[in-house]
Amino acid sequence: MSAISIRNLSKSFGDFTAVSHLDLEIRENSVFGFLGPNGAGKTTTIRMMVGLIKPSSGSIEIAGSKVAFGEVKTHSSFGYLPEQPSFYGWMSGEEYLRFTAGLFGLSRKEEAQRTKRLLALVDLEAARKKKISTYSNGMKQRLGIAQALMNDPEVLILDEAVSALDPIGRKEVLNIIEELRKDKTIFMSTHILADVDRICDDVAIIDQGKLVIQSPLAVLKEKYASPILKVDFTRDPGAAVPELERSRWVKKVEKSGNQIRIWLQDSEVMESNIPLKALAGFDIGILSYGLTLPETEDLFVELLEKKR
Amino acid sequence: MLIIARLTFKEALRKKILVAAIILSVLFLTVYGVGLHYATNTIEQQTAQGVGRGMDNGSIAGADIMVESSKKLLILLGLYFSSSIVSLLAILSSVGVVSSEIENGIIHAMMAKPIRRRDIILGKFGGYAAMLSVYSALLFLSVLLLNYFIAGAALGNVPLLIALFIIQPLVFLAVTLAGSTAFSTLANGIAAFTLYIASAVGGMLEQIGAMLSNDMLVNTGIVTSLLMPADAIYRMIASLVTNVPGGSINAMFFGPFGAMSAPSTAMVVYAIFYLVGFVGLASSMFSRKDIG
Repeated sequence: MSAISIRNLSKSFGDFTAVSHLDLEIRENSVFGFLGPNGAGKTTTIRMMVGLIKPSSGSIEIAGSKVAFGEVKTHSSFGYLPEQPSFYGWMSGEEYLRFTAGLFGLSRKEEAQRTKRLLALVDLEAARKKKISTYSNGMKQRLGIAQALMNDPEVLILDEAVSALDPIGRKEVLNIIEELRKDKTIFMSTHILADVDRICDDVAIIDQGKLVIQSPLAVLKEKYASPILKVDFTRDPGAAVPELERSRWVKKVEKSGNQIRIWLQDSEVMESNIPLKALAGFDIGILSYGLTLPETEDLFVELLEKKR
Repeated sequence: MLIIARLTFKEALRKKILVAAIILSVLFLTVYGVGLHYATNTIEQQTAQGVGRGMDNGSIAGADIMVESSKKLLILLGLYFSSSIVSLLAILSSVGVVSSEIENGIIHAMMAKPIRRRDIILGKFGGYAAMLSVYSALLFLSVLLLNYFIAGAALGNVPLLIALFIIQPLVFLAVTLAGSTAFSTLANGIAAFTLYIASAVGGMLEQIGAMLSNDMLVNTGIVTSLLMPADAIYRMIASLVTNVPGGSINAMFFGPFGAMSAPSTAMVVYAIFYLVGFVGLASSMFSRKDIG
């Protein structure tokens, strides 16, 4: 059964179509990466999912309940962390969570219990009495996750949960998401593709409001990504790049310092030894040579380029 | 709704604009109190000199009316500027009540919770209304107490006067709240402030029109009162405060601070409907708004 089902969802602002006929199915208890370049329509889609924006057409179901703009019935079945969450700076973290609990109509006892548990989960116990205005970005993001979990939702919707964080903050938040994936469906938009590699089961890529592809990440990598040959030279291989780019077995070449990455037309070319022979012909010492697995970033760029 | 009202009340108390309003109000009350003291002394001295020069009974009665009217004028002066302070406080404190929370994203997480948009608006109105009501009542009472202790002037019907006085900032609050759901904070601030100025000028024109018996000016004031009834409510207060023997002579005496052209009770009813209407409009617009 799908935890989230989006059908034929569209949103236009005047003449501009932000999201166009989007269909998505998100499996229960999966971590779903919602990818796309800036302005692709990710945040608009999420805001329609959580009831902030009225869809022009289409339907959304979350945890079996249909989302209807203006109706708050479904708001208990999901938790939502907005992009760059903001808080009342004069409140403490604990006060904010208690306020959030009040919005769900929890009893005083439940309010206290859940606040305590969530502060522990996001590691903000020590800072619970401090004003939010004194929190770091990472702490605010963790508080944002805590407020999204107040109702113990089946589905957690995170909009760019880690994009604005430094590496330590990112790691902390990703660790929390890893913890939550055990019993929740997590829908997260991001443009940090290394994070997608780390935690996502399934991904969808949208561009200019339209779905490019939706697939389990592993299948996507296997099906669509070209194998990449990574070669480290002893010196700058600049002169070799144009010649490699002209080769029939090469799709694309990227150079970075003494390293080049060669996108192969297919993996069978490796068996023919053609690449090694070609590289040897350049008379530049080779330090290392090997086929790498494509990263989501490579895949992302390739799919978008193909579509455009 | 109550949880939003509580939050908004707390939020309103923490705003710098309230602190500024309190400081300015204390300054205003101090200046007003000093002015009241010297004005009262002068009035009493001149009255005593007049009596000392051997005025007849008719002149003494006339002098009593003048003293009484002068004291009422001083009360009106205090209430007029207090009205301005609470009206401006209502505008400035609530100008971004919805728009700034959309702009900075605070409201996004809240709106994804099971709370209706209508309740958010009503809660926000309730929170600010509570703050403004307490503040307005205290300021009103401060003006009355200064007059009582310094000038020995007392008013009747104080609860009614306070209730009317509180309606003024609430009317501005309702309009500003509605504007905040539709416009940016800056645009709403400019619009609300312009409305405040228009209301004050319209009220003045109506009084001048009544003094000059110029129907055009009076009608201009009436139309302005329909667009923004806050000044008309002040005129209602002025009319109740200046209810001293002497009729139109006294009304003219109070100049633009008085109520030569006193509004009818229907205007108070209109102001209440106006207030409720704008809160309803705010709720309706916010309920249909895309929060981007």
